[in-house]
Amino acid sequence: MAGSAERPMDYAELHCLSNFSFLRGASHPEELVARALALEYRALALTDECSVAGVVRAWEAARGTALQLIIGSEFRLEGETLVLLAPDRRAYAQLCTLISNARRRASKGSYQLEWQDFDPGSNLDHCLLLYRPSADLIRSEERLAWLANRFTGRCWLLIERLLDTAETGIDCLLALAARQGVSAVCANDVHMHHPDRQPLQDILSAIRLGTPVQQAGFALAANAERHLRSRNKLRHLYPRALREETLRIAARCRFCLSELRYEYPSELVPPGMSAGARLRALVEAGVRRRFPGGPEPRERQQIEHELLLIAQLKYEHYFLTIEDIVTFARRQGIFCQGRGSAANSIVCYCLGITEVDPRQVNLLVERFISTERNEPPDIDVDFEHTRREEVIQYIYAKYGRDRAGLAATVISYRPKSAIRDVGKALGMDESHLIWLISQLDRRHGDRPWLEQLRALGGAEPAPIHCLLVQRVEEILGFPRHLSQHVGGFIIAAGPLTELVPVENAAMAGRTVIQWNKDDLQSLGLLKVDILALGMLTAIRKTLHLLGKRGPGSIEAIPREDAATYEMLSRGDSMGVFQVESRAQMSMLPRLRPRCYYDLVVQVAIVRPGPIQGDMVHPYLQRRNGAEAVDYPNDAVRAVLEPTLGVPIFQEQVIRLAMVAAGFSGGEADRLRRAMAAWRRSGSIAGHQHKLRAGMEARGYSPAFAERICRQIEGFGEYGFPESHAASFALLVYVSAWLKRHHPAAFCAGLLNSQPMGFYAPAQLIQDARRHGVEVRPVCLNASHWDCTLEYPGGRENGAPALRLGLRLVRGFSEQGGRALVQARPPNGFVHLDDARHHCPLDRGDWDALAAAGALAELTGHRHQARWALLEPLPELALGPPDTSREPTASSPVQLPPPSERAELEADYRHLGLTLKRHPLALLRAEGQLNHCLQAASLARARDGQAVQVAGLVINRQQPGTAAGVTFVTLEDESGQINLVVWRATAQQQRRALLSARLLQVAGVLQRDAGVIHVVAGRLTDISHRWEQLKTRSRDFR
Amino acid sequence: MHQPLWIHLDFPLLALETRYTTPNPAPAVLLDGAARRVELANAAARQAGVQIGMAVATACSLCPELTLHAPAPTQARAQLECLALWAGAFSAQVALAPPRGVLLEAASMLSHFGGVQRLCHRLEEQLARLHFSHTLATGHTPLAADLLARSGGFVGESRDEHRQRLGTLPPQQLGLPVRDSERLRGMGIESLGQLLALPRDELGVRFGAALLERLDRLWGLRADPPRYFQPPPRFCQRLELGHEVESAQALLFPLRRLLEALEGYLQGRQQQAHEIELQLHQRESSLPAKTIGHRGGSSRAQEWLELCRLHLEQERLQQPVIALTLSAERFSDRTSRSLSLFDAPAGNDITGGLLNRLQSRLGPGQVSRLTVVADHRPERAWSLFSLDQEPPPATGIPGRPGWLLATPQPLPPAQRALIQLLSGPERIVSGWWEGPALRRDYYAGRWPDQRLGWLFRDDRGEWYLHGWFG
Repeated sequence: MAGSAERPMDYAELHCLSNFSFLRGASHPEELVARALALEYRALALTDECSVAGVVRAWEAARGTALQLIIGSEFRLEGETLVLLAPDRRAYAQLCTLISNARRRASKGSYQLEWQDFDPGSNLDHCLLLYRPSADLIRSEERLAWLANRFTGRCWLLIERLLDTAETGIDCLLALAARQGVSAVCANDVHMHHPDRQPLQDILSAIRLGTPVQQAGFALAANAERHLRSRNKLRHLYPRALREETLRIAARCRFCLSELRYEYPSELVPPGMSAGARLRALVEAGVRRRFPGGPEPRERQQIEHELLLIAQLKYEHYFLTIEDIVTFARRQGIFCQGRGSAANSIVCYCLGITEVDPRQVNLLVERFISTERNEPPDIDVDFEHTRREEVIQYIYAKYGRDRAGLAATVISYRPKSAIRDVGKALGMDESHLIWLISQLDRRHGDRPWLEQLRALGGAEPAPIHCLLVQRVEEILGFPRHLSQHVGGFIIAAGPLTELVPVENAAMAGRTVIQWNKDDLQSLGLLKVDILALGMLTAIRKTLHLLGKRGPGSIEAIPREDAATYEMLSRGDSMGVFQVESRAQMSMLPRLRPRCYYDLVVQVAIVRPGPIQGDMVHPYLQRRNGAEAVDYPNDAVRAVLEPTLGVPIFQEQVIRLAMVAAGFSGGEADRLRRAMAAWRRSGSIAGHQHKLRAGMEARGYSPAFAERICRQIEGFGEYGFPESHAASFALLVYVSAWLKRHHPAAFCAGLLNSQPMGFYAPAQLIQDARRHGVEVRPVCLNASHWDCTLEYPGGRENGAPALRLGLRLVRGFSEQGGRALVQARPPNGFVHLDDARHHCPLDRGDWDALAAAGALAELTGHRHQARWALLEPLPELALGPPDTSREPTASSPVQLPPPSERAELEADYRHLGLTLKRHPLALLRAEGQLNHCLQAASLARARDGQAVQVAGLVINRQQPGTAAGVTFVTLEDESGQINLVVWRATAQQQRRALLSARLLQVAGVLQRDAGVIHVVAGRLTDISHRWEQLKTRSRDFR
Repeated sequence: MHQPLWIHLDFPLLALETRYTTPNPAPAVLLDGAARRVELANAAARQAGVQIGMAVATACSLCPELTLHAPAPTQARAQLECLALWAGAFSAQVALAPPRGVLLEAASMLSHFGGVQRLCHRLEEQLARLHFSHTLATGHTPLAADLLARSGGFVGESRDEHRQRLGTLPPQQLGLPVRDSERLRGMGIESLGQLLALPRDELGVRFGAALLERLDRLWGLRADPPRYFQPPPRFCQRLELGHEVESAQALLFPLRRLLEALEGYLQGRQQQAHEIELQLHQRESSLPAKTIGHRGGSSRAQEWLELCRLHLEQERLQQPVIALTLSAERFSDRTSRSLSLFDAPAGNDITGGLLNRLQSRLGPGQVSRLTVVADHRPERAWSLFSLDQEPPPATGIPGRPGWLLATPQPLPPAQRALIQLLSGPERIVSGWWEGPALRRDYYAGRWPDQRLGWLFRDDRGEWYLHGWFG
């Protein structure tokens, strides 16, 4: 055939969907780009359906390559298909606006387009339009005429040969186009990068339709032709003129995503002033506040250095925006503090965005911003969790809903959802799929779950099982839908929809942009993270409760208090921020923090990364003097001395790379990024090589280089930035100080901020009592909605008692609580009928109060109270109620009082806690726990001693790093018992381990540096002993 | 004049046990509608620690060999009706107490069976053959028998015996709304006796008339007439099997339950059957019904089971069976058989009449309906359906030749060269889920003798003829 020896002509594919056209496209944007490159296309247009959610990934993949990426979108309207392309920035803005309008009209996940949207005056005058005719040629010709009229010179007839029965002859279509004076162009309705993906594409269709593939019939594609075809093949399918037209269109498209520049909101700069000057003014005001005696030369130098960087990079507005938000919060009395790498910045400290004092930690501003990092800084700010919404509303109000929007999160296929959806699409039985999922243990690092899934098919797996495994592997990571990110805001100078489309989120009144955080970061668009932190709420509430009797503010809390560190060193940290988990609590007596920096290390070190990277043990050894510390030279000493020669923080790794191996700041930061992703990509190997080479060139020993490399590997995704640890350590100290010096108020603050933290109210209260706090029960006459402090004997005396609040009563409404407090006379109600007449509570609320024992003062025992309260109130007679009547005498019924066991059960059922005897105390008193030691007595036992213990199971944990070990926490009347259950024990005594509520354990005590564990041998479920307990009933008044 | 007496049979695991196809002691659970939690668990599963309400994943990790069953409410209901029919052997008046109970009026049958102990003993004996977990209780009111059955079972004779026993039941076993029983418990009321000791008007004011009414029905102070189950004039029960059954022998276990129901039905009518029809249903179609006769007539399930076994021994199943239908209506010497294959009234419907005659002439199962099926692969795009099955609708049929060859015929290159290709290629790549995918390019072609045919080239480049147009 003539011409077959020539190279086939260049080509541009103009109609292509990625998997961001949810459940239609079967390839990732990166795969499409890579394949187009391999096929030597000139250009590829990514035209997802009413979306640009995938373009950033495609853009990143195409950057620096020979492939031109064109941005566009496909739309389907009344059975017809249109493709819009954006040749320039204006067109792109118009396209985004169109997408936003279509999406905002419909519910989440869908869009609604009208033909009027293409009328002149609807602002699409820069976009290019490709129209694909339907099988009805007459209507198609009318439609083409209509469109050509509105898109003069920018409209084409799109011809796609997919070799199925619906194909209309090319000649016919060319004639149609000619009649309308419109050029024709070809494309391939690409849904995947390679025909091998057709089975997955069928599965996606099946999932979308909710039927198995075997019954999907004609809804599946007839063949696998919707892929990126080779130019050779295209030559056989389409006449030359059509292929040339693709290149002509591609040549008109010059828009690239890198043209998107962040345009800052301008409100924040007063007229007549520059942004830099404004920033400078605010920083100087902050300097006076933070450094009352004036800053040291070193600090002043740092401030100037940072301001210069900010000016060079033109980030002034960003800092102003955040400073404004934080100032608003403070004015409203909302506690907040910045976290993450931003705490490296002294400017942020001066602006009040972060609270980490640069004099106390080693700042590395390059971790935050630098001229080599080609991306904007990332500032995350934590706010009180119950008041974060106020901050979000402030942003919307100040900038308007059209200029501020939340970033999206891409919800993609994970193992469970993949197996379920693919299995159902293959027609597999749902209970079988559930069984498969339940058999997978995703924590066993040595047997990746995909392998396990494969193995579950047996020695000779059924073909359908093999298909399942293959398709599941392919579909992993495919996007399913967009969801609202927790708090990532993007704020633009002009309408957001000219930058990126906005669509409806699931929550009413919320909208979301089509890009996620990573996309924003790649494009260099600034975002602010408005996050929520429960401990900030708790701290504020504690300070508020203390009022003038307390420090009044976080700033006023005395720093470096020895008593606080002493408490922490004992491991007495329940309720304290970050260090109350079991792992942290058992690390405290080993680490024995004595100063703020020790806390910074503690926060960073008790995590999977440092544990796996073998950092914890050497650090402890050196801290305790058991191992000598030495440094190869002074440069390394400067970097590693604060952590005794063991690299713990990300910034140290960066600095080491710079100092010891000669990396530049930018290279070192790339290393840090590679560390974060090394599990997914192989790029760290190259860096490691360079690291070793650099270190050896500078004369470090191979052993040292090797050790550093291994420790860096251990960082993986988990290494902490020092600045982040420092921000958190501040809150650790503050909450610990409050716990040590104001335990009642601190407990109240925690209780009033639930849900948060590691422990339930029951444990927090028991801990407070063990520290000598008097806890008073919920009472109709004394409790408020929140827990409060009561000062016995007048306000002058010392320690307050903690009065539990009405919020703890299950089934009791907040509205009812506030109404009760309002209606209550200053000295309380005397008679129940009084209370019932004056408080507008419904029967459910009254029953809840009675069941929780809150009426004890008025009505005797619970049984009688609940009986009395179910009686409807007699019609209100005129005049005041007759208070001379005896309360509850209206009914002659006398119900027997509850037994102690029934009282305790009722307490747990209706309050979640009890202030009476602990259930274990009851069991022990009745002789049910012979030979069992109390938690408090374990301190006197020897290491290696055989012991028996019993308690309520309050926690079961199976952390992934610990080789199948389960940690169980038991609670008895004297405290908590930490159990360690090895895998073999767990497997043999599965039932007791998984289902017992009350457990008796025979095991061996282990003690190590003040930390006590019991290694479990025999587990016995003794829950039935509680059921069978018969105690003499006592009248509890 | 007898004292009223009722017997309640409670089948707590009915919804699970109907899914078994063998008497199955292995651990098994029934899942809830959302397939996330355990709804019912059999004894072996409970032994391993599985509890009702537990998440499926927890249950599977406690008991790896656990079998999971999905709920099938229509099947459970059908099974309950079978049980009601079976119970007809013991009482003339049987009522359904869905989802898992059957109530029998017993007072009038006492003399026939020789007393309540004997009656219950007989019931227990017969129940054992059905392999359903069950509890039996008597009661002086229907509700009393129900509650006593659910709380462990009881056999008594007099009203006072029953009342005494009822008095010990705690509030949670009275079938009250959860909130009410919770409140009663929270007031220290631990038994029905204690509850009844409270002043009636006070109870009413606090818990409403509904509670009082229930207590009255329970205690016997208010009539509570049940709605009796009417056995149909002819026996026809269909049983869906929990799994596909591949051997005819394995059908005997579920078949037995159907025959026991038949026995009960016949006993209740004091009749015998001379002939039964057994039909095996497969996924794509049904086998023709077998007629099994008994020369002398019988109502005994055991005898019929033996006859069925002999018939089934001959049966070679090409495909697995998913359901059984047992019907019987020959209880007398009538010889006419009705062929009620259509709902349309005969006579006005010409097609119906023709089909009817074709069927009688050629025999059942020889006349089927040809329909189009939605599938891209030409071989699969059609199917035969038996006349009483509803074929699924198919739309969007592409252009296809009228005649399709049973297997494609290879076309040697010499022949292929003579054929003029008119249209195509139409590429079909599909069916990967059933083994290697079909990959063919189809063309319409004109033969030298002007015939229009449909040919394709497969992925090895070889040509085949697949059909003719016109």
